[in-house]
Amino acid sequence: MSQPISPALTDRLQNSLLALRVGVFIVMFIWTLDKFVNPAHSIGVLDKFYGIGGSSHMITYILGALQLLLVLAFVAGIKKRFTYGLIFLMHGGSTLSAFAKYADPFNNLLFFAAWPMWAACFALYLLRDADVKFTIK
Amino acid sequence: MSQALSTDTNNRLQCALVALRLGVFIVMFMWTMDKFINPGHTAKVFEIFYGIASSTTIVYILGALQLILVLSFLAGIKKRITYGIILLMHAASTFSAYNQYIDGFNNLLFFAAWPMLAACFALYLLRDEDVKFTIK
Repeated sequence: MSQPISPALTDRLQNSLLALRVGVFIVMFIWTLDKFVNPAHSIGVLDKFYGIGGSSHMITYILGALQLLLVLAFVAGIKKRFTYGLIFLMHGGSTLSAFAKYADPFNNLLFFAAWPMWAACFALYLLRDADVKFTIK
Repeated sequence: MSQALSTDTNNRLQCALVALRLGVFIVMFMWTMDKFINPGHTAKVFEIFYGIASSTTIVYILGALQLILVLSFLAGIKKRITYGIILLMHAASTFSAYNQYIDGFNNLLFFAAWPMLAACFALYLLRDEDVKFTIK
């Protein structure tokens, strides 16, 4: 199927993908921990950005536990099609749900960083078969 | 030098690189515009995050230079220089916010600087492959 690529390019590609995976992981991991450290924040986010009211601490903890499994599997490169796909969709939801922030851009500059992160998720999903450095088979 | 990638991988790689370039551009462009719309914000950022005092005029000049840079970056012109400067600039932004990472849960939005840094790094590393929608 795919032809062999030059060792230099393979190296650069694998290092790039590793960097993207670790970068996306950092954000996803911190937001996962936030669900445990500060469940009230997650409840507020679900309510304000997604219109899902009435979440309890218990729901936040369960979501947090599932998300923890997902982000650890993601950083280890396990079941890439599934984990990278899910991370891409989840972060897509985050990015698009903040639309009100983009309408008032200069008071919400930090929100824009969601876009290159989404691009990183997209790149990882698209190139998942080439992302093999420091992954678990 | 480098052998040809399979058409499929090559297509995927080029789409991925366009997405990364566009994503990084959006952020860089908004922060550039902010220099013109709200120079006071930039002056404050310089003082708090970099310890540099500046004036409105300096902010406008920096904004103008940055605008040229980010548009060249988007167009893929002189990639080694433009991608390299964007990488260095965003690395400085990322590292200068170290206080925000220490108080992580009150500054969750700051962490998105890291995957963006990874995106800048990937673009620099793979700049020779990034040819889709670029100006020769």
